Amino acid sequence: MERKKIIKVFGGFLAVMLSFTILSRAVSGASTAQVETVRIKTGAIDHRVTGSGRVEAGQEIAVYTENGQRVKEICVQEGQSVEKGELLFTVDMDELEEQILAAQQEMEKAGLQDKDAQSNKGVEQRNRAMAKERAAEDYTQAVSDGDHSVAQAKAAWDAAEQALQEFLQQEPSGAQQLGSVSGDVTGGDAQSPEGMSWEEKKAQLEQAAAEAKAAYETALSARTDSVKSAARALEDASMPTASDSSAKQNEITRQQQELALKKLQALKDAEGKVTAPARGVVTQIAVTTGDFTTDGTAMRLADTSKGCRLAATVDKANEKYVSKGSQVNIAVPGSKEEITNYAVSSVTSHEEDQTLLEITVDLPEGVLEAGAMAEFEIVQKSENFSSVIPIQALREEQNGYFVMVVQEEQGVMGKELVARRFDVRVKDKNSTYAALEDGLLTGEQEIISSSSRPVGDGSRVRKMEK
Amino acid sequence: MMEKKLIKKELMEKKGIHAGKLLLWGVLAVLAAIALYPVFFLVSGSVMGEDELGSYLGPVVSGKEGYAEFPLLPAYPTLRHYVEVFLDSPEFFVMFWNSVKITFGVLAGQLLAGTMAAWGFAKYDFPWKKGFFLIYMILMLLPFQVLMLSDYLVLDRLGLTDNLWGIILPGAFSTFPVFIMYRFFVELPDSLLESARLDGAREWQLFCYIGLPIGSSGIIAAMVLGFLEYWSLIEQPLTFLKEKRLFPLSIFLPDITSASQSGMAFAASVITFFPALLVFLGGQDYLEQGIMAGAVKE
Repeated sequence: MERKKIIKVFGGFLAVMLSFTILSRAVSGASTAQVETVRIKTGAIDHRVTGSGRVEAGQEIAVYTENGQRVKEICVQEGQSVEKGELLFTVDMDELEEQILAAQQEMEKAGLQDKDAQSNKGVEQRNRAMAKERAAEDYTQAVSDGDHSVAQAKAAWDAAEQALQEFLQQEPSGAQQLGSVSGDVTGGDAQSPEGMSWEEKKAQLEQAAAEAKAAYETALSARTDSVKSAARALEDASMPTASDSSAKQNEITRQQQELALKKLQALKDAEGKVTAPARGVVTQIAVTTGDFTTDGTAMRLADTSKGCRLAATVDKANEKYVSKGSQVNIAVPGSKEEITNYAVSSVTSHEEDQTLLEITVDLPEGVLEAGAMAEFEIVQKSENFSSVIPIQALREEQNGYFVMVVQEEQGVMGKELVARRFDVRVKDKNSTYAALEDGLLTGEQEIISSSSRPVGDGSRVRKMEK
Repeated sequence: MMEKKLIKKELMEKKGIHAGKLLLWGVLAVLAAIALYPVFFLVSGSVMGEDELGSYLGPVVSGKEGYAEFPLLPAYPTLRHYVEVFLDSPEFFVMFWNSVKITFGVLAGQLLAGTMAAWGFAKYDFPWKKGFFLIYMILMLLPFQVLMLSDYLVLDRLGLTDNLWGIILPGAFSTFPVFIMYRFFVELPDSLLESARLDGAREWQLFCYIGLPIGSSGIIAAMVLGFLEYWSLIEQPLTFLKEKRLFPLSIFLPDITSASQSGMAFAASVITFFPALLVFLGGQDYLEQGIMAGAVKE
């Protein structure tokens, strides 16, 4: 009895074990990670940097008009795109005409003033010429007068001297002796037949000679003085007048006025209308209706006729892959058309945020409207690598990278697929692929790219049915 | 039984029987507790939480400082390890069935070959009978290690390494059950067989209808002993099997030594222990007879 019971229990035990055998296989099958595998292949690693940016106009144009014009009507709004020649705003014609009239009158006034100045100048010039002529005459006169009086004085002196000498040769020797003792102070009047003594006569003659000599000297100095003063007068008269540019200045002022008038006239001819100088987008309106225009810009246009520029920022981490000349593909949201084959024209650090880079792409006319948003993609192709795997297959850990490879191993359950860890080194990678150093993996090895649950070294795995 | 009664009588006659009896009981209880401790240990460990096991067994399994200790009862009993064994480890069942295959294969072989061999030795005369029996005895006495290499060479030549038959066949033709059953068959009177022959019974009829029923207790005893031996076989599978898928349970358990798996190892041990316990309980009487038969001198 007891034994039979035990045999029954034993049989029951085996039955339970059998059922759990099946159950545990089912559970384990369900809990085994299902994996998808890939093999290494050759390929290039394209580095794609994507982002979005805004299209900016390539150039700004200032629109301005004459200073002090009253703005009558503004015909555009900020952000509006305008064609070349499209009306931007008009100025008040009455005000303009008044200004033109005022300018014309101003010019006329200036012309009259100029004429007056010219005639004044002619009179003055004539006067000066005459004064010069006269001074020259005076000088000549002074010279000839001087020479004449000097010659007369000289002749008188010579005559007096001669008379003295002649007298001296007639005198007796004693008297001569006496005379030589008394010097030439005494005149010879001793032999004078007219009753005068020789001595007296001699003194008289000597006196006349001395007087004549003094007269001569006086005449000589008088001549020098009068000639000198005449020469000075002549010099004064022929001195050049100070330079006078007022005429030229007046001319310049006139030209300026003429130019301003011409501009006003042109504005009048255009009926006071100011138009867009080129196709573009109005970015700023500085004038207000009813106010006067100033010297500054009246309106600012973004010129779209010379193409635009796509400006965008990318993360600095992508610095390696973005350089001047990199290929750019541009897509506009909502449009299927891809704009390809443009190149990055500049890469600069962002001024405020150091973690960003600013890039610009020059676009020719008509590619994109200024102000539009655009997505871009910069592609940098690498060399060809021989061990490329999808990035999902690459696992990272503190020490480096590794991949899980499916291997057939002999286990308790027979031949099993087991995930084994292989450390790898990464040469290059982008967001979808990674290039591994050659020789670490073979083309036959199946690398786990995705699994239904976490897979560790030694985990049993099943290949996912396709 | 007889001896116990005698001792009891003697003790009853002596004075101070109570004190002596208590002392004896005490000593026996202590010894029994020491002997039973590993079993208790096993059961309580199998329902102990992983963290608790880790802290108690850390010094042994994961190289922590200090000594392993073991409380009698788990602080937070859990059946998690059983669930783990039953549901999460199909490997356990692979090994369990490997053990079942080996054990029952061997027992079936012994039942077939061993009984006949024992019957032959017991009831027939043939030349060199004593010599053959002596070789049988010697083979029985030789430990496994002695024959390991030659066994391996033979199995290798037969292409039976890495094959369960490499374990089953040597077991099926092992000499020990022959020796046990021989004892039981020998006791069968030759006169009984003679009279059966006179009544016209064939030789195979003598074996089937007289030998087997009368020697059944001996056969069962040999089977019980065989079960216990082959259920816990370690050396042969370790030596002859390389593929893990052929490993029996007895090798699975030593495989689990890390702290995180020790709970599972305990649970697996309890499950492994269970059939052996059943067999022991069912075949206890025969076991005693078999051991006695082996002990009685010719």
